[in-house]
Amino acid sequence: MSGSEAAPDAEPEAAPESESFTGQSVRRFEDRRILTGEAEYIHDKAPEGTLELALVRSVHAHAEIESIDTAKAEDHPDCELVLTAEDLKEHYNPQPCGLNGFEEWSLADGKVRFAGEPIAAVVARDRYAAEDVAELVNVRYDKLPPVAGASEARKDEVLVHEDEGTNVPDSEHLTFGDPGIAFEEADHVVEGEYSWGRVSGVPLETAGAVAEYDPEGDTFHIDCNIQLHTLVDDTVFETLGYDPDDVYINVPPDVGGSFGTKIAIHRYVNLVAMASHQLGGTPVKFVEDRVENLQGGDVHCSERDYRVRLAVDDDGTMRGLDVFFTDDFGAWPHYPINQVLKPLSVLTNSYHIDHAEYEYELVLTNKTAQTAYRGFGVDPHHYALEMVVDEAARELGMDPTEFRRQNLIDPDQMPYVLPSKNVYDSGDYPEALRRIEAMIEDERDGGLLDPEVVAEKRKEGKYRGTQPSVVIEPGVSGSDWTDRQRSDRDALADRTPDDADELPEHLRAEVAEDGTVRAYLATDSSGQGHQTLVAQLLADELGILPSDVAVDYLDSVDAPTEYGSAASRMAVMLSGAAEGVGEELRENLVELAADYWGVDPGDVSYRDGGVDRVDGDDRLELSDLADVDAVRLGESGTYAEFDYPHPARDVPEFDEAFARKYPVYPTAAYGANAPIVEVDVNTGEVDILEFYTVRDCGTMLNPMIVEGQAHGGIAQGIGAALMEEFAYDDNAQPTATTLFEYLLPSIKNVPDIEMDHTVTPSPFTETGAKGVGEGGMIDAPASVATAINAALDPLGVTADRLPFTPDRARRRLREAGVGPGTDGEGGDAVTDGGGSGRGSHDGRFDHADSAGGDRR
Amino acid sequence: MKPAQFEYHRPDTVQEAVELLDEMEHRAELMAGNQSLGIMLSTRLATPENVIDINRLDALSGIEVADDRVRVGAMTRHREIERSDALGRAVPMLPEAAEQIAGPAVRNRGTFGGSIGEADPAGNYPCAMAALDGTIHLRSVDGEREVPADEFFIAHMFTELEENELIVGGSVDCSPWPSERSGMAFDELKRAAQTWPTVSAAAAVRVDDPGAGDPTVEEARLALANAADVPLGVPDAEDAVEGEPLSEGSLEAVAEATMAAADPEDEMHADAEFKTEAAAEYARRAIRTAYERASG
Repeated sequence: MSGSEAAPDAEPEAAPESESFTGQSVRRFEDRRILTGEAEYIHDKAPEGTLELALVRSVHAHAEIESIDTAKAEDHPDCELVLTAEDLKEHYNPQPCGLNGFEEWSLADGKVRFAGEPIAAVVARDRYAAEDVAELVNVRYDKLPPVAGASEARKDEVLVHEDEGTNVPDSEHLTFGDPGIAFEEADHVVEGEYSWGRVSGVPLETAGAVAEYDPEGDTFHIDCNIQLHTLVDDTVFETLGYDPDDVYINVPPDVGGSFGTKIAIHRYVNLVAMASHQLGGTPVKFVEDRVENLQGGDVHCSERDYRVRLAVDDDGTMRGLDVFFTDDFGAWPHYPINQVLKPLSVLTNSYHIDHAEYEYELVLTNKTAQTAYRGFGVDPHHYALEMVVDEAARELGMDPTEFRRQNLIDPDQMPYVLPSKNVYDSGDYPEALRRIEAMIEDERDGGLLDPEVVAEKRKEGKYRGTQPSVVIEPGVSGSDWTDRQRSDRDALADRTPDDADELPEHLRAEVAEDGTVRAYLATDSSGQGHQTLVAQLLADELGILPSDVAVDYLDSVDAPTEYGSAASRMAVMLSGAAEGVGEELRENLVELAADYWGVDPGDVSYRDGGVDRVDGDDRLELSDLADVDAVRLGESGTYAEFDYPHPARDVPEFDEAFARKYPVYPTAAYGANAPIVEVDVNTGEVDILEFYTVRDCGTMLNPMIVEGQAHGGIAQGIGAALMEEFAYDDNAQPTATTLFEYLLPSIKNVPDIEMDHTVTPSPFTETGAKGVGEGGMIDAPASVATAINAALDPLGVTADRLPFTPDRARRRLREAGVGPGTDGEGGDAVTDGGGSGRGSHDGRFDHADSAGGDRR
Repeated sequence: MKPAQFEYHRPDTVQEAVELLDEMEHRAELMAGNQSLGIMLSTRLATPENVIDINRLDALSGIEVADDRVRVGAMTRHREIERSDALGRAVPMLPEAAEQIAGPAVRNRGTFGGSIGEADPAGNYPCAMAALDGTIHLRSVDGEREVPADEFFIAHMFTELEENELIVGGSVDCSPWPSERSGMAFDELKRAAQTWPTVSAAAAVRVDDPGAGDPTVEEARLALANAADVPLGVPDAEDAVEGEPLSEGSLEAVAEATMAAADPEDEMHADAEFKTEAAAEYARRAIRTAYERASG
């Protein structure tokens, strides 16, 4: 178990008359230790005698390794160990990969496939010495031509994996309803091409691991900041070739951010474990530095080129949707391959569209591998969809907000089954759109968007606009569908819902000697505030104060295999698990008290942190019950555990999604955004003047935490829309390897966020909560892009490639004949934004030239 | 990201420092605010045998404003330049350039001399010093010498500085810029506080009569950062605005002269075409702002 000292001492801000702590903005118990520097991160872990590991990384994007000469390194007086793939192959296994048939070793085996790929690991007394030793490893390469982008890779002229025979190891073409007829009969078919740059989460804390092999027990004890340590521990124990019970993986209670990116840091965890093993048990530590993290940390995320078609009628009815995209996954198809499928959970966003096609190609290139990032592939989908919606509104000559409103799913249709079989639980999207429009009404009358102000600003070359829309955040992923790409897809038609196997959420609670309650999560946290949430929920369950609940974490051996904290799950899963474990614990305590008093359990009752005799003449407080239990033989009466099953299992509407292994996300939170943007057409700079948003995540367990999630998500969304990109040059060399180039939004780039909430509880969850961990990142990029479209509408320019950096903006404006030196007079209004326009009724895309040629 | 081994020296006087430099020549790097060198050392792009820490050379720190000459010591921090009222009155371009460098943490440590010595084409002080016809003061065991800013910067991160020389400061003759009828501006296109500007424009303008409705430009200076591999002066742009009141027509000529003079490198998210355009636009803005400030 993790050594957390979570005993919360902060006073909750609950109003005295309030009936529950859940729903209050209880201050986060985690924050005191974080803000006072008392939090212990993985980087603080250093057992006596710990050695440090450094990596020799490839300087080339694609090359055969002719030889690795380690002699000079081994001669260095501080060198303790040098490992190469040869050593690994002698003792261990390849790492589990996202797709079957890929043999990935923790160090490059014979060939390097991206610049920054680790080739050798060296261990020395500290990191300084380790880097000295690493410099002495001499690698001889035979360079191969690199593949730097999906469009080039799809030609299969240069193969990243020769054995695979193609750079497109996974693809699927799904049809829902009858899109053929919808596209043929519709009055218009609108088509657009949109590109989403390679972005990802960049946590303040990089990856880190400290491993200690125990020769006596032949076991591994690993502290690391991997995310989902009770789910993805297979990426470690399988690689080491040990049983799950022999590899103890522990994550500190405090992790400095992950956003999904630390789920796949197993390479580092494996290497320190192997090194400690080879050294007979000396602890070995690795801490990733920032350049390693940005360049070769296996942590980039989606890089997509979309081609989207929308079938619409003259009256504005959306008839059909057709989505094709490529996703540049980099050198290895790591675990998050199912990011290409998650958009199916929100296929038509907030719109009622019955017929759809969905096709993707997962493409391998000479770049660092993708991992998961907040949004998990949904963010680019919403962006592409909202872009083509704008294009259709222009084609129809309709107001883009009215066009959207007309097609919104109606509250009467809830729960709403999407053509792709996921189900929206609840929501009033027209109301959300109405509220966001009401919020910006003042801006249109005397404010930032007052027509006179807008006209004045245009004279200076500054174009303002906004575009309200409603964007869905799918929450609480199921686990069964996530291996669709490793399944026999032809056999899925014959499956029944009962064939689906879902992971529950595990929670334990016990009464400590002093009468406080300790709870144990079977997953890890990376800043979300789970300790606070569990304390709130259990305080209500047990009639005690949140400050009487301490929350700790289980290691990978102690905990059952479960999904854990990802995919916007925890608000919902913890709601159910806390209710279950609370009930179980109350029952146990009642039995314990009844046994002590020698009465029937029916004659006692649990109330506010103690058990009363119904006849009213005695009461045992929790501390008394702990004393009673301590001297009693047999099973503990002050302990309970509970596995909360996935909430979609009981909802028949999900049966088909379960049976067919389509993404199952039983909560649909949503945001209606209206960022007000100003584009300086002379320089291409985009300024977000104010970010208005109305959000609904059902019941808010802790509104302060909900708002914090939204603030952070919106900031990341702004980064993806305007600033961040892991770009590569033509030689597949990364050009963003420091924070000078990978531009994260700071307080200077994030505007004031004006946030309002509506509350539409989920009918599928215990508290009515919906998943809320990825909102903001999911909705803000689409909203910023469409606001730019609105601002530049008079010039016929759209944000058809993200990030919409100043140089890209200027390129589009130049193409439209605008400036520089524009004072509002320049520029021919054109109706056809770059890369978009009228599509064809017949036939889909010619994939040979679609979705991302050399679009700059 | 750990530096290779080096020997650390920390002289207490300028004389000691130049003697060490003379002894070690190319085998030493000077450590001033350590905001750029630290990164080079940690990534092992720089692996000097010796590092000479000059943070104890108090004589190199400080701002002097006397009569018509302003002198800034090499070890003066950005923060001090940013907040100097005396500089703000005499050469406001320098505080304006300083306040736009990175964030407060960097400005508290980074130095004037460090920025001049680094000679990054996107750097703020090199551009400002070029615009102001400033002088760079150097010292070695052989004594002091002065180099005009426009001769000091030779190419990308390459300067007149000899291996045994120390930058002791910079100076500017402010007699051409009487505050009551002069204006200055330092304007940069920068996408995030923590990174380098894409382009910057530094402008100074003196007018004949600020009380007049449209005063005539007597003298103008314009320099651009990151529009070439050295700070780029644009004499044609200066000529275009001198001798008449500023007009849209003369600003257009400023933009055209800048476009003609600019010769930038491609960068991620800023190709040469974009940087040229942006340089012209920022040149126009900086001249306009400087003129407005000069005109009161």
